[in-house]
Amino acid sequence: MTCKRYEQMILLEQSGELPVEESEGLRRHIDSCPTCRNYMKFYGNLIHTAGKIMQENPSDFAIAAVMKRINGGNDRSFNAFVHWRSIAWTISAVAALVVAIFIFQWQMKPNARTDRVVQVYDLLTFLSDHDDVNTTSVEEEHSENLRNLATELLRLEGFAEDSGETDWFGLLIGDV
Amino acid sequence: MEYRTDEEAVVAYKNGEKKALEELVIKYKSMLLGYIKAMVYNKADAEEIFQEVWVRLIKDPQKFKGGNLAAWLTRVAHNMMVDYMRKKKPDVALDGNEDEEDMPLIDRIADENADPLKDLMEKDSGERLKQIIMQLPQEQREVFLMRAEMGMSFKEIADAQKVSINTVLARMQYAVGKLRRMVNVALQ
Repeated sequence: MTCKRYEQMILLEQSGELPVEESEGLRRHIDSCPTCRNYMKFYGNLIHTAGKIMQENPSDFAIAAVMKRINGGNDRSFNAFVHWRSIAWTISAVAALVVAIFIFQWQMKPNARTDRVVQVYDLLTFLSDHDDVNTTSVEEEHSENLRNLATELLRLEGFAEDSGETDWFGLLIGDV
Repeated sequence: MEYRTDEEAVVAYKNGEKKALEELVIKYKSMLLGYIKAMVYNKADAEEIFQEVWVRLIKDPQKFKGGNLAAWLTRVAHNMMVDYMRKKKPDVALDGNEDEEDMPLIDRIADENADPLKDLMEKDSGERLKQIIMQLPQEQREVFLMRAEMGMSFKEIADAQKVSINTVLARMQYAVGKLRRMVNVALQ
């Protein structure tokens, strides 16, 4: 029998799988063969040492996830942190998008004040151009409408003040 | 509460004692993860497989029919890693039939008092040895780790790898021969 075969016997002997009848033969060979003796010594130390240095500690997440499963936790326990983080990011992104849309819409919204100024001005112009009235009462009503519109226009343009009476109509037509 | 054997602990878990399984997790966590990580390299993937192995036992403890729990856990992990390897590298199989190299020549060491392993460990507390082990070919590395780390018998390793015991022994011989040479090279 070659030393090669004895190597395999050494492997089996060290794991307790060598048949009893072969153990004695192996022992006798080991006693007389320094090569196989060294092999046996090296192999025994290697298995013992490797068993210790190759161990790896799982992370706390992994252990907690397993323990949670043992105690009836859900399937997502290991990825719970990643799962909730992704939800938080999604909510933040949606909120940012909503705010951006809101700001965009607000910026694009027509200035109500400007619109009103234009509207009043258009009315004033229209009334001024159509001043072909025939009766006093219509003329008075016409003047009143013009005065009111002029007052509003001046107010919108920032000239009007809340207190006191002022001839705003006169201001508008340049009489004052 | 302490259980005499792993089998008793699993039976206790089947009867509702969750603490029994928790103790088994603590007992085997470092060994099992060390074995898995040495095969897949990536720690995140290794931890995922690690969890899945335990989930298999948690969900269906009847699947463990007694005997060596470490061997059972390793077999489950091995099968999961085969699937993992297929997804990651379809052209490389964990239990593929790669050609074995020639049997290593037996080194004749004249000095019986020489202890190259001890010398190497003293150099860097095992980091170099760990790297050397990681350089072994996949099948040899797995046999070596199943034996050294999980304490499995060669018969159990043969069952896990679905090969004959002679193949497993040959793989171990190659692994030991290679490690011996690399340790000597590392000491030079």
